[in-house]
Amino acid sequence: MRGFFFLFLFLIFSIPVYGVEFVNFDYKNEYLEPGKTYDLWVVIQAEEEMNNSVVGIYPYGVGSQYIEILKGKDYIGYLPEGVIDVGHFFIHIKEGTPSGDYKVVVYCNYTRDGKKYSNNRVFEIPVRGKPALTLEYTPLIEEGMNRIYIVIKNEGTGTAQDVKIRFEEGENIYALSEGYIPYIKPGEGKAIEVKVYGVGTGMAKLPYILQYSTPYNNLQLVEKSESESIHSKTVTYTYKNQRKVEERGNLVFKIIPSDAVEIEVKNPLLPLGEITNFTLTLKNNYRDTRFTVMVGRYYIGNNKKSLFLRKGEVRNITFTLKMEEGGIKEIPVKVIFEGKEIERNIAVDVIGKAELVLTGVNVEGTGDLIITGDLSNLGTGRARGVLISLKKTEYVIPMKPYENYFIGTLEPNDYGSFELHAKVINETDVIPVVIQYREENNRVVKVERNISVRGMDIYISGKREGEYIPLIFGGLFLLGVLFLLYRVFLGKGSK
Amino acid sequence: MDIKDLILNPDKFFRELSTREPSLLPPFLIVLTLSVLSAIHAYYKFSVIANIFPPDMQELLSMFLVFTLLTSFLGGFIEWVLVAGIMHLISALFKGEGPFKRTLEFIGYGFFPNIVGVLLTIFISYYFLSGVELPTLTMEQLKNPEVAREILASILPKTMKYTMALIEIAVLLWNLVLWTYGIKYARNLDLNRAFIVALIPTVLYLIHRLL
Repeated sequence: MRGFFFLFLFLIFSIPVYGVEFVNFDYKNEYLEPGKTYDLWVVIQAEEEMNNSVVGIYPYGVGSQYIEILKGKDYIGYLPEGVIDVGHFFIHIKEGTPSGDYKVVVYCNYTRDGKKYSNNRVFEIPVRGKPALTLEYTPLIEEGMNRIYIVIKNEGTGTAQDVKIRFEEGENIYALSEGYIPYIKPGEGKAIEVKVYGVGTGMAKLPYILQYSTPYNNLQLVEKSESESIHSKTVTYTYKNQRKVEERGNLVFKIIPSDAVEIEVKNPLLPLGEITNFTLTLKNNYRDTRFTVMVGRYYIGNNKKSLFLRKGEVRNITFTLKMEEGGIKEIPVKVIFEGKEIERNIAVDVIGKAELVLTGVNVEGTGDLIITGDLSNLGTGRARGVLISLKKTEYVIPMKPYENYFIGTLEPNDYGSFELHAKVINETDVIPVVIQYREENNRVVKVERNISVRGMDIYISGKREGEYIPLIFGGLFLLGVLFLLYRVFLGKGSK
Repeated sequence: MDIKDLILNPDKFFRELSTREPSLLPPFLIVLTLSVLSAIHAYYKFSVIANIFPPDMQELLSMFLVFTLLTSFLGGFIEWVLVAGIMHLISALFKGEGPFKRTLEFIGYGFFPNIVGVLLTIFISYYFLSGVELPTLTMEQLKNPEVAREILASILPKTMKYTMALIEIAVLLWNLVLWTYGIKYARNLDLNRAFIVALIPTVLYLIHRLL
């Protein structure tokens, strides 16, 4: 329906009108910007004699919301046929006008032969928003090297292109890098990282130059000159294309001591798995203030905690972590106070704990034993250099070549088989073995385990079967001698 | 020399022998036989126990073996002279009369039970120690004498020790009988005094063994 309406208007306006011709519609700019006031000229040519001519403008359609007509009528009066004249108007583009082409109706009312006539024509005014950049940053830095983030926000209505920020030598502060953003759309904000070096503590000022460009030509009137001759008057306008914008300003910082907050981990050795008491110690060297501590990785549940510390006060703060693999790990910790963020990587050594158990142990033999079985790692850490040895006791003597057995590395949930040889020289219920290995942090661990042989027939003392025969024989021999003594001293032999 | 009388009727044996001229050859042969058998027994025990020592000590062991064989062999002769000497001296206190050669001769016959004892001991040692595989101890283990002693003690079964003790007691009592009659006729003593004289070295030997 709306399309038909515009088609109707187009047909009406495109029909040649015998009376006045709208020769030109000029605003001396490529685009108009919101928030600005512009001169507008409409050039007309009388195609017939015209009396009481009045040229005027009014916005049409959505343009009426954004275009304010400051001077919308210009009286021209009499115009003979074929004469050109100009109507001069003032319009104001309202703040916040979105970029777009807005329609303006130009009309001309006149009388001829006592009758009123009116002609009009629709022109378009291109409005393009202008970027307006603001800088946001945290005005608190540490003494020494800092990485700060400057958020450049475009609060204008046009896109800013090729945004560059560079810095000049400041007071107590030096910038060691520059920033560049290809574009920032209206309402958008983008951050750039800048390295700055703060000298000493106290206030610091860093001059900056912010350069950007608009995506269109921005002609601005810089000079207007008039020259008059006998028959004519010439007005010359000089424009400058303000497409590239350069703004200067200062970033003001407060430099605090580099050790304003000391963060330490209470126990840098962490076990593998869930750690409910990962404790950080904070010392406040700055001033009484509230700190927010955030753990960046490995956390379970709440990773952000807040605490108030007086100057010089030391307090602990505890988080819950879950470490899934061993080794040296860095936990990013962020401390935020008074808008300042301090990031520290807390290095911890995550140690999986190997837990070696004897499984499937079999003891074969009598006297000379062959002990076979597996060593299984039920723990969470790797056991390296695993060596199982028989422990020599007064009843168990390790025998070569398998006094000990080297298994090597046992990963978690892994196992290794072993074989040990021993001689049992007396009754015993246990065969002690020593399991030696290195944990992931190279700590040597020695554990002693007893292989139970209770109730097993593992010992035979010499000639077990019939071992009492020699004893009986010895006893008989003694009895024989005693009989001999009796016979000799008291019996037949004494006579 | 009637061995049957020596065993069953030593009174008769020494009485008859005392009528003859003293001769040291038969007792010497008895003691020699005893010494040879003792040396064989010592060698056998040594060869079994030597297995626990590491190969590095074999040279030292060879020297030790020679020493063991010498002491075992000469021990019998030394013991013969020593016992005869002690008994001769003690019998002198009981006013015994007779030459030392006779004492030496008769006391030498008294070592006949030891031959039987050593033969039995060899048999029993073989019975218990044959087929025994001993672990080779390391130098570290040997440095601790307690460990080595424990191991050796554990290798020898208690039954063997008890059997040996019974044989040793029997031999000693038999020695006592023969030495009693031997010294009786060698030094012309009555039986009671001869018994006391024979008992003293026997008890001394027993004390020595118990210690």
